[in-house]
Amino acid sequence: MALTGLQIFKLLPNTNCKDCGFQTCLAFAMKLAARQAELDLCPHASEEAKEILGAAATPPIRLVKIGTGPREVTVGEETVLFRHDKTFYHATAIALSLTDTMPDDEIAQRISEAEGINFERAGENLTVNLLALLSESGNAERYAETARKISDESGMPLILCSDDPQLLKPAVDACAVRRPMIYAATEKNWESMAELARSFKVPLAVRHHGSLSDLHDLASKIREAGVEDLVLEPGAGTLAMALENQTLIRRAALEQSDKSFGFPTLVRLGGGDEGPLTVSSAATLAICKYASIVILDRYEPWMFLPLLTLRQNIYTDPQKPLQVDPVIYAIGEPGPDSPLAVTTNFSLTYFIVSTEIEGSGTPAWLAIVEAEGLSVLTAWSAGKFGGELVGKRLLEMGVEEKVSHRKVIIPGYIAVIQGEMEDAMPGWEILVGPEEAGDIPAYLKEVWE
Amino acid sequence: MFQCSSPSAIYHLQFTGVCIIARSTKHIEKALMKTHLVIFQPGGLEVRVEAGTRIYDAALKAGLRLITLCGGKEKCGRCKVRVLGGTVRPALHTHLSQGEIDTGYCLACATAVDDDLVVEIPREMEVASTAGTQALLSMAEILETARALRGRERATGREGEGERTREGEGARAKGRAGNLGLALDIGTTVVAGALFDLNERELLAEAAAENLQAAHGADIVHRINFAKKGGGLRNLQHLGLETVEGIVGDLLATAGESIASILAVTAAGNTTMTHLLLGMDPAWIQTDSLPPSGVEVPQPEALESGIPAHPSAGLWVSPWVGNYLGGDITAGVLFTRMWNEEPLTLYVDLGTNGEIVLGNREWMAGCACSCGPAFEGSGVSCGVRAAGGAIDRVEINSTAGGVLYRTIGKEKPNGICGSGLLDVLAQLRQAGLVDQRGKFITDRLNASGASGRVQGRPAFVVAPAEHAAHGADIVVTQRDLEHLIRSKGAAFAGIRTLLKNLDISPDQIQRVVIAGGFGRSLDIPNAIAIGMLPDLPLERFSYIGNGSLKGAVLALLWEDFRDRIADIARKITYVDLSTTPGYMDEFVASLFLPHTDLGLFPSVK
Amino acid sequence: MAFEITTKTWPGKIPEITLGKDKGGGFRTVTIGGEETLPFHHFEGRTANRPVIALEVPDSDPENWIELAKEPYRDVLDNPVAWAKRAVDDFGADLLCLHLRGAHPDRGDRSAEECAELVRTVLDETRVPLIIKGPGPSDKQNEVLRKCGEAAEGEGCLLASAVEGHYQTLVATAIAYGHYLVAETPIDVNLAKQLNILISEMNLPPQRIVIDPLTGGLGYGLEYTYSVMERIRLQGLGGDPMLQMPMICFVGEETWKVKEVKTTAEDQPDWGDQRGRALLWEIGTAVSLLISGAGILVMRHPEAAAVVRKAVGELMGEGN
Repeated sequence: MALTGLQIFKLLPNTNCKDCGFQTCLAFAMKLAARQAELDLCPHASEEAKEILGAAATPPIRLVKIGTGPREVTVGEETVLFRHDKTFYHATAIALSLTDTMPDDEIAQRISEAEGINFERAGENLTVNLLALLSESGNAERYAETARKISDESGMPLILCSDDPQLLKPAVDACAVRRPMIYAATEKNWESMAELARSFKVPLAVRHHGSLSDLHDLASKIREAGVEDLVLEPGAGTLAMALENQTLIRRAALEQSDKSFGFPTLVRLGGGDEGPLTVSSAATLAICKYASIVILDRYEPWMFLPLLTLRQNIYTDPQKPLQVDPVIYAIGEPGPDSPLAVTTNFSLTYFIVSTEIEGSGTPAWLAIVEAEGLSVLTAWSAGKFGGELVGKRLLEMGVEEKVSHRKVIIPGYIAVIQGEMEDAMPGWEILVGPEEAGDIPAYLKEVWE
Repeated sequence: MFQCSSPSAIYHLQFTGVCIIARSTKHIEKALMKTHLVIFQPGGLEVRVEAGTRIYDAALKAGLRLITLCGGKEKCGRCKVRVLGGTVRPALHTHLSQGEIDTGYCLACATAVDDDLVVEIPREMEVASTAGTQALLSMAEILETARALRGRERATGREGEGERTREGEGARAKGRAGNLGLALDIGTTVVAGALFDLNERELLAEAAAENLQAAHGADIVHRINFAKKGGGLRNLQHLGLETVEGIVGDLLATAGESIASILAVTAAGNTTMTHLLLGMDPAWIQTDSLPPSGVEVPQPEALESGIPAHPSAGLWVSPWVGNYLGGDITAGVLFTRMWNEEPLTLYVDLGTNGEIVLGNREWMAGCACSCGPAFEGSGVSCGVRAAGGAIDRVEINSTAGGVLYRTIGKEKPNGICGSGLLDVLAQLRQAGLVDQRGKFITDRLNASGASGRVQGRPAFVVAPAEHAAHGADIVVTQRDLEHLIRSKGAAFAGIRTLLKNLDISPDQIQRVVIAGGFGRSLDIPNAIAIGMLPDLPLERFSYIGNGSLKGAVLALLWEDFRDRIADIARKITYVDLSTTPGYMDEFVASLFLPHTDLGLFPSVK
Repeated sequence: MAFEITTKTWPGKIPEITLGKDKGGGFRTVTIGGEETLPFHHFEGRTANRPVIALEVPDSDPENWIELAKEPYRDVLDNPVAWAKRAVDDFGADLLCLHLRGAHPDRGDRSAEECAELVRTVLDETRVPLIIKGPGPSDKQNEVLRKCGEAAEGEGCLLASAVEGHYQTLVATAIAYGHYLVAETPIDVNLAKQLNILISEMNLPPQRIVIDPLTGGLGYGLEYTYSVMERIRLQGLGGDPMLQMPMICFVGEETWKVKEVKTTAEDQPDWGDQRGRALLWEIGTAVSLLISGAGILVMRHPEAAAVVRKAVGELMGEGN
């Protein structure tokens, strides 16, 4: 169980020596509680403190790494059931499957397509993460050869998929240095699979579509057999079952500190005859509800932008302030003669101001200036909404093309930036709007006319 | 040196005259002029009045207004007090029983002071300070605090340290005309100062004035932005010193002393005010929560700082914790004794910048929030500083359809100060004239008999034009209410966020100490009713008035307290709300009367 | 150690709301709410009713919709009654969301009386419950919804939407004519609760309120809506009566306006086929909001709605 800042503080020397780099022992303790610092920063920590904090610091869900190099995939180490309680840390890894019966050139093309999926969005590159190689040939040599080739030629980590340990072994051997994941240990094969995973030091997926208690027993046995990096695949026959199993596994790991369920999870989709939209709707659920890896046996190019955007959304840190894009918004259907107002990109500010403008019946342009998601006064107080900056940004956004007049309305609370804005926007008249959004309709009617 | 081990012993000694003798000869002279010392309990405020003064007026002079219905005209019987020490001749009165007279009760408005007295004001009696005309400091309170703190230090093995300092001071002062000390509270809006005789530890004079820097911005941020401009910093420093000069001038005139007698100066203020006073660049305050390395509180000679004092006088400046948690709060924390005691204490200093510290002798954590100037009667339509003529208490009687208000100094009202504004908000809600968002419910407002209009919009009239000093309605508008709700919301959200960060539930707080813009006239039940302060039993709350100045006084009179304040500044863990997740959430939740989570305010109906 | 499921029970419950009026003659009602547990946690509590899907019916040709969205209604674009019937009869809508966009002063300024007449006709012709969405937060919205509410007296419609500062008229209308009210707040659990309290203070029972937490479409704030809905539901189940309301999400209008939906494959080849991408944009938004607690999804495309309906069935344990 996680300790609170004060509980940790009581284990520290309380000398406020600053050797850890923080102002006080309490400040350091609060950072430790938030997992934003490590105890070894404190050279004076007692053995008792190290022991207690060390135990508390063991993540309830193990961090598992698949692959090596820049495209290495990291999953697990989640700490909450609901993203608003903290954040979800390691985004669902998407795996695309291919088979060893495909001709080599088709495999090459699929790999290049998978590698090519890369959407830039909100400062991040959205990509798919893994390749899942299915063995349909039944030929261990062919399978190993294909695996080796993919492993050599692509930086994408591999999931080697077969229930037959004998068939898998040469393939695992061929690319063990690239740390592929073995998929999957089952009731029938688990001993050999465990042996394989342990001897090559690679992660192992554990599949049981029966009851959770069966999966739990299986995972326990494999754990006892000495495999540390597991990924669990519970049954997901229906969306309700997927939701139930994923929820109960995470809950057991976080709330009961259940070691056998303290691993990332996996969902495999698209193996049946469902259409791609139905597969996508199941993937949506898997991304929202705790799946660490989703293997797609069926996929279409158009699925990726929506699914990867969804993943980005769900794995965004919810404690960042809600922001809107810094662009010029049309409220109603404004023309070149319509009023132009400016405010910050804090979403609540935007919603309130735009609602009032809309309600006023006067269409207008609302220019949103980037201010780290802070409200008007806060942004200005922090030096992020000064007259010079706002003026410069407005010109960069192209306000001169949007409106034919040369007037811009600023929030009444920061009337003080009027002068600086006039300097930054030569030829423009800076009007001071009302302090309260509720007064905007009256202001637009009285002042703008 | 006389040491009194408990407050009751002090009064006893003062009554037997021993303490008076131990005090300065000035006191003896005053005693010969047929004046009497009156000490009010609880709180220990003391005042010297001429023989024949009514206890009621003595209380007023001490800064305590006994709330009556008749205004002290012997009609209502509300000002019943009990004399614990000294002799009075209580007049028989319909409102007093013989039993009460036998146990020392009398009516304050009907009883003259003819002896040194200790007067107990019963707990249930409503008392308000006469802010503006009130005394900033009570020597008894300062001595009591110092003794409590130093007694504790002695018990914890710091024996003697303070005494040596004290003796050193005395020796240094020998052969000089005067050995005076100046304590300053450098507030963003108001600067206050007090002059002491260091040898006798006697308060000679106190004074306050508006900070002349206000011409360049009402709050910290405006000042910093102004300081960034060419020559701005020097300009602000100059205005700050000019303010201090004015105050020192007043103090010296009152005490009949000269600048050369001031041999020591202590000053406490928020981080920005401290920077501006010393001419330091405040730019980091906007960008960093903790000072960059190299930025430390200098301790210059008073003269080189520009503060009027003897050329060799040292200036001690109270150290800050972080950008918005300043030397005013560290000085105040010293005064609260929380840093030296077990009970978990919440110290809340509410001004334009709200500062909050939670903790006890083991640990302390603090944060700051921007409350806006409404608490200090600024930034709202009819807001005024708490001085003569300010409406400081308001009661809305919804059934009788009336508004009762009280002004400071019984003058005609000229506006509403912070405590009055909070009363209005609480009472409007209680009377059902505003909804939980603080929005006027128009038809009820119109039916209330106190509705008015400002620029065509509804407003609540606290005092009609014909009663006001300046002949215009004194009103509270919708916008004013929104300001107030944001101010109280910011304060409460700061408290909640700090508690949450430390996993502490409100009921674990054993003491809540309030300081700042409200002074003693803050009505705690009303402040809870609007959701500004946590809903805890009233007996856990106490007030210390200007905590910053009181801390500066302790540091002036006992030099070893300066190290304690430095320890306090080092010990407080600064929680920067601007980067703390959840503060905005708490703030939005607090923009409701009393709060979106009504469960936090079980006592508010 | 064998694994045993630990289940959670909650002190709070979301009250049921039945929209529409059972008048016989094929008139249907729709019941939402009734959850005693987190969305679809059948293993530990009852989910009394399946979430429902409303299809959008604009009162006039929605010229700002993209072709793909208009396709299913190509021949009835300016015939809202025929549109409504198709949405119910062919596309299986549980209920309809009639958007009185044409009443907006900038979009034809249709009179409140005309709107009321249309509401009456749609109710009589389709026989399913109706969400009546006004033209926007203004005086006109109040006027239009008041008239429509009067014309539909006793029909148990859901009026959309009351917002802070403009809610009084709508509350009075809902009380006077027996309707339900959408309370819309900008993605904030506290603001949602505050508005519910204010509305309840006007004596509209909390059981007549549906929360609109404001939908951020996929890629445009979906995660904020998602988390606010989770928080609302957790607080409601936790026993806060002012957050024990079903939630409605206007998915269609928030997804079909974004550039990832409007852009063709010719303009962005690596985004893939526009049709699948656009449908998935709506489906992805809808499914994530389903599992964060939506009781009513207002959707645009019938095909997307069909996929979501199937997902609802599975989530309710109906499919295997």
